[in-house]
Amino acid sequence: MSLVCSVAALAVIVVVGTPVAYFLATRRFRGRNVAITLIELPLVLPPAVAGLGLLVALGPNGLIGGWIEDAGIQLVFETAGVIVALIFVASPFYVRQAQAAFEALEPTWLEAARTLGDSEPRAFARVAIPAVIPGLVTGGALAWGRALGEFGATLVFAGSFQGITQTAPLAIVELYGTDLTGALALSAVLVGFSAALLAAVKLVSVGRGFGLVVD
Amino acid sequence: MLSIEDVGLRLGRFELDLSLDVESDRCLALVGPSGAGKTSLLRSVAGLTTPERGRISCGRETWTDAAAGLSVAPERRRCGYVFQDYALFGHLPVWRNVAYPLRGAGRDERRRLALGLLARFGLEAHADERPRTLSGGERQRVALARALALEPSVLLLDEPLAALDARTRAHASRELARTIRDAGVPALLVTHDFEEAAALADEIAVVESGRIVQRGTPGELASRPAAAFVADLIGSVVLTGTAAARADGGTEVVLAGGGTVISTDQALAGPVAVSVHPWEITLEPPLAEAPSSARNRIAARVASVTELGSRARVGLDAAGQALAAEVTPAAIAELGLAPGREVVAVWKASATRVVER
Repeated sequence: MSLVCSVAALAVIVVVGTPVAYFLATRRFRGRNVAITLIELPLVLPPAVAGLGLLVALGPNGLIGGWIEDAGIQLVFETAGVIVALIFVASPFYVRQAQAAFEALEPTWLEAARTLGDSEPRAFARVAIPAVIPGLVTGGALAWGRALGEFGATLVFAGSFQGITQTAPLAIVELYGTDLTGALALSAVLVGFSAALLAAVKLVSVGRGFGLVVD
Repeated sequence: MLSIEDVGLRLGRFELDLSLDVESDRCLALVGPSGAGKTSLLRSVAGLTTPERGRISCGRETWTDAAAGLSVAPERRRCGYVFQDYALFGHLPVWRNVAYPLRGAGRDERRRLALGLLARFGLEAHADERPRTLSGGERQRVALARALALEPSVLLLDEPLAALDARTRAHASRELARTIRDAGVPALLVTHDFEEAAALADEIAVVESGRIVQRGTPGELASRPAAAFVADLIGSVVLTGTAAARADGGTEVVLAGGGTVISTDQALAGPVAVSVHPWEITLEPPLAEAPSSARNRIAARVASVTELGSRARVGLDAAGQALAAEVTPAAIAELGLAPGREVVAVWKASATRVVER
């Protein structure tokens, strides 16, 4: 359950976040700082507050929620709601890393490639993308790790109904009350997975000489 | 031949407006203060920007014609461009950087060609390393090798020695001058450093306020600066000759065209360049005083006198070579310095630098 939701969330984050990160890195426009602040907001919000915010905005009685419900999409207490919550909390981890990766790309590299015989698309494919991929992968791994560990926002926004919206962290909390061993076992799995993910990210970034963007 | 006609560029407050041409096998250095638009001119030649007006052509191909709205894409121009920061691709090993422009050959063939080029620059040992592990001088050579791998029709160099430390610069300068000569294509080099230009180029064009103020060989500019700006730009004077070691550890240089100078530097016998700062040179009337081992005395004729505020630059011809001395305006009056006057240029052996050519 956790896996499915987090992967779905990751997919959305990467598809939407990559162009956003590129624009933030390469263009200076009015409101750029506001955009960056908005994107980083989930980093500082307590997860429960984030969940509440989502409820207010997207819940059936919420700001846009009414339209969403009319469109036949049920979010609150549904699996889709979990995915939305995960997207909200995990996207800053990807966008910031991707933005740093795009910022590290020297514009003269693309120009050099053009003077050396590449058309603009070819230069982008041969120079820009390979140089940026390690950063994007790192960002993706961090976002995925965050999504897997998400708890507070999910609980508030999507509830904790087993099979529908109960992600692993929520299951741990529920088990904690009744089956301590079970809770510990599930926790161990989650911790192990997260540690492995972080270790992998560190190894890749050290190997490439790519720094992690940490707060 | 590279031809730049009436090219006009506007960048912020600056406007560049010039024409120049460079023959195959010749290197022209564009010298002027930083921010004067010299890099923008290089970028226009490479096709990375389009000037507001003018034509740029290479041989029979017209690359840019602002009036006709023509601008050939950079990838079709074959300009070997050495960027100021070298722009080496960090994610590729050195040999792949050099092989980047090679087309139509298999991987093994491309690697072989790249290694051949790297060997010319003494870098084949670094072929599989990433650029960031190389020193500044090594990276500059890789950038040069990469530009040459393109088999370019024009070489463009943006401040090629600026990023190097002083010690590397002298050595790199000699090698670069030789590489440019061997390339056999027109080379356009921009720099704010007159000495770099004098070391690398056959001719220098001085740019001030967006226009070419004077164009000529380094010697011509030193002895006959067309404007105070040009005179001020000129650093050390450079004479050429042949060196032989002296018993006391110094070097004696027989100048091409006659005359002998002594230097306290140690140098190997053979062709050398002798340099001395103009402010180390004093001028005396031509009295018959023999040269001592501490001072050099060279007979010269005044070619120009340029006032530079509190000092004056005197351009001199000495046995077919150019010298420049910096003196006080008072000395000008005292010695009656004017073009045509015969004088003796005097400077210390310890102020004389000798460098192998």
